[in-house]
Amino acid sequence: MGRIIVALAGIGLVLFMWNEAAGYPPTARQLPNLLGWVVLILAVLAIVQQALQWRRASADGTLTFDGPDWRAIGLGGGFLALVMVYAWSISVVGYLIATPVFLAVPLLVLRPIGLVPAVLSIAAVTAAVYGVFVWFLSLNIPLYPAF
Amino acid sequence: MESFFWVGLANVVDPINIAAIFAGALIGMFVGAMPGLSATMAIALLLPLTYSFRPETGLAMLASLYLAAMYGGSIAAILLRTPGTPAAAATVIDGHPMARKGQAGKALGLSLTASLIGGILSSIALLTVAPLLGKVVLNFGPVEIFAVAVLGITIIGTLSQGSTILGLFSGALGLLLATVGMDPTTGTPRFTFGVLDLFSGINFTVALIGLFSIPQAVRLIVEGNAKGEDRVSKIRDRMLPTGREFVQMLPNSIRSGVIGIVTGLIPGTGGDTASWFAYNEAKRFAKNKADFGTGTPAGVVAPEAANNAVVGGALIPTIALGIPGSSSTAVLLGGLMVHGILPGPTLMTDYGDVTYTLLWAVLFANVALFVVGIFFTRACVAVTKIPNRVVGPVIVVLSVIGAYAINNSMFDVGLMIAFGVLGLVFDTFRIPTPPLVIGLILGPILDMTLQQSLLIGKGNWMIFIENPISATLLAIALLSALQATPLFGGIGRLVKRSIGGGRPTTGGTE
Amino acid sequence: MKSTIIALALTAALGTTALTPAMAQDYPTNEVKVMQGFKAGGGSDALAQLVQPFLAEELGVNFVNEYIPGATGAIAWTRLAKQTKPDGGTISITNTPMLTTNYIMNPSITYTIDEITPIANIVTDPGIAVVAADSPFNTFEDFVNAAKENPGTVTVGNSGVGGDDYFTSLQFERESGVQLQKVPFQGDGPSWTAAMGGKIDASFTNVGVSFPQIKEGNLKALAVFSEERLPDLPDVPTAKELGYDLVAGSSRGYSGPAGFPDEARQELIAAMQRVVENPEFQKIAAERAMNIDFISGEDYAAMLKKQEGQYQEIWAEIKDEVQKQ
Repeated sequence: MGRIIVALAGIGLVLFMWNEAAGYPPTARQLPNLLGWVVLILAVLAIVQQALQWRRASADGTLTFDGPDWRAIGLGGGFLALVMVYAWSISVVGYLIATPVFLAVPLLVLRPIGLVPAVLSIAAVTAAVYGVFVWFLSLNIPLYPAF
Repeated sequence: MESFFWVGLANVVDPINIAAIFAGALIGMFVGAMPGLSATMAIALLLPLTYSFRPETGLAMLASLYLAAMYGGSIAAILLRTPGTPAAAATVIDGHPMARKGQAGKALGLSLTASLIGGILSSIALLTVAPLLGKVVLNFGPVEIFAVAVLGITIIGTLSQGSTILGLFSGALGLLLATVGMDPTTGTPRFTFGVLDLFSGINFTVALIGLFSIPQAVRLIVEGNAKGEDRVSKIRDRMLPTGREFVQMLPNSIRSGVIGIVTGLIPGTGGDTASWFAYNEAKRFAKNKADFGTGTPAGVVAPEAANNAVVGGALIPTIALGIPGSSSTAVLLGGLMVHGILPGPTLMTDYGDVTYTLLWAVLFANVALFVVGIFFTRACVAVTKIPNRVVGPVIVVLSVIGAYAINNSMFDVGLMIAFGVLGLVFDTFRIPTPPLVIGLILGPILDMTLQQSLLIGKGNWMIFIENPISATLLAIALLSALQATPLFGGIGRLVKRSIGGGRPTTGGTE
Repeated sequence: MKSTIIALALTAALGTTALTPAMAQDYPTNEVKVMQGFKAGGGSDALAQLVQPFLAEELGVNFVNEYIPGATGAIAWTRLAKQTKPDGGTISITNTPMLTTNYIMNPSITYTIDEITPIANIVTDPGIAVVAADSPFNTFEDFVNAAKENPGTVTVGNSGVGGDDYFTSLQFERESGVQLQKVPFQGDGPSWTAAMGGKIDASFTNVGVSFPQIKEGNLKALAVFSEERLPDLPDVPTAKELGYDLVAGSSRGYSGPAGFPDEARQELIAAMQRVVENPEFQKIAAERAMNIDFISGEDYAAMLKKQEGQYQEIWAEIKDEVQKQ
């Protein structure tokens, strides 16, 4: 099922890119248009292949759909959302606040290690990354809250 | 020339230069292991520090750093499934499964040994045949490089084992996404929507960090550590290969080393491409093809021997003609200029002493890499003792800051996460990611050289057939695409149809 | 500063010393950030590495490079023009012609030179036309005649659309009435390498990058696009003597954001002036094949303005033709 959604998304992307490319000079749109066809054909084939597989499976009576693993989706999705919030928060509250908070959330919620090691790891990681990127490489990343 | 050869050796064994080589190896290994930090960046940053050194000392340090970074990339690739450098992306495929099987130390030992073999091979090539091979570079113009890119694309077929259609789909999507950015001939910004950060295209390193690291971080969080499970790696596993294993890996390493040298030699292709070529060939020659992707030693040896061999290969045109073979060697050339040595044909004559010192330094750097590597790697393997749910968030912090560091750009952080989501979707539905990576690497080369070739050939596609080098390479590409068909043809008729669909990239020559 | 400490730490063992900047004088900030629109190790970086150590000593401030590559420098210059506080603490290396051609060619690039304060140009690398050593073209006339006889077939490499060599080709086409087949490359190196290997008929490139190959006889120089013949290449005629009004090259200098404090600007200009007159600096610049071309303050602004006008005119003329390709 997921593969079909990805294939359909691929087709959607190609149609969108073709539409965009229509206004480009011929040289500029040549390769995207050609590759668009390739992606389109392969996406259709992927859908057909999946459908054939299902038909064969249903003929054999082995067609089963695994129910989604809600726990994994919840955990993974939640973490992914946290990653996005983290990336965004760096430009708002700065690296020195965003990073320990981001590291603390999964450690507090999932409790893979005790409290003391958790605090130590958070401090160590924040400091080590700061040391390498900011101190050594003079990386110009926001460190403190912007307000 | 002969005298420079020995002068160079005498220079290198100077304790100061040896110390510089070791320092370079240590820094390089560290930089390579960090996603987002590249050898090019480190060389550029350390260049000012070497002003105060004698030219040969500074260059020896930088060359050693460059070489060590190639190995460093594999540490993160194997332990964290996050390639530390783009050149280590291919190492992930078999290296990380090895680590999951509890063989992290062995995988790293193989990588280190393969790096040593590849590096030494290319140093020997540098010291002996550099002036001869240097001229070969001039034979590679846009038409020939286009053919190399097409040949590279056929690797997608190999990597799509088990699900040819999905693999080809993934590869084609990578090529398509690679067309984002300014078109080389007309300067039209394609698919950029006015976002300046996309004008130069999707930054490949940023995409790569996202594709591999985010899904891995999420996976570590979701899986956690099963109750009572032993830690992923038994640290006690033997690191360095036994004598027998060494003999077994030798043919693979040498083949991959040669591939690395040649790929490094060709302008515009470097470690990121070479490692995939080597991986592909290792699989072609292997008896246990089905084991590739599940943690087979040959799958670690090939890319690692190749990406270290690239260093010497890329230095060949740099030394012989003053033409940088890669972005890192371009920065090294800058290092020469700092010392008043103009890169060019005089490197072998007027400045032969400095040049040969550099060449010997590359050879010695391999040894330094090996020695430093043994200790450094042991320390790194400790990572596998840390619980998964602690490692996951740390990978994210490194990836976010690393992505930012590449171009000093917040946009790149967003791009990295977007590719992370794409990688996660692909992983969830078991669509292979490596073909997408190949597409992103080769897409820009394909686009640029196709447009150049057609401008040179005044729009005539025959230019690719009339040119002997490109005609040969394209013929090999076609054969290799056809050869791949029956090997992975378990799915039957559909496969044949899909190959028909997958070929338009080479179809341009018909 | 921080990297200086590292430098010390690293070099201490090897018995060397690092530069220590003189005490701060009256420049408004202790640190000047220099934004570069290109990758570390490129041409802009070469300028930064050459000039800034001297400048740091003159002014007693630290210079910190920030690399913001992408869109041929436009990301860095947009940031300079739109998001930088004009307090003297941030300047940028400005490369011509990309500084102006960027927004002339792409409507989505919105900064203009009116939003920046030009400080001074430091170096100019004159343009040059080169061919392979075994090329049938021995003089610039041979090349022009071949292009005249078969319009659009003589292939000429350039360093990329929007770069100096691309616009040099366009200007030359306008001047001479011939039509070239322009082939873009990713930078100067690949362009002259292709000419050297006979993959293209000629390359319009720059003297600084191709000089070692010319000296060694791997490339033949047909003409330079400078005002006068170059001391290093006395036998190579200028395009001007051959009757083409064409002077072109790639220049690099420094600019600040609009509203840059005038005192700081004057101070920088004075310091740069002292640097380019320093014999030690001149010696190093010559070793690195950097052709000093010091144009400061309003003269630099006028130079940029003049270029802007020229490129606008050329682009207006050929825009439609390019879009048809």
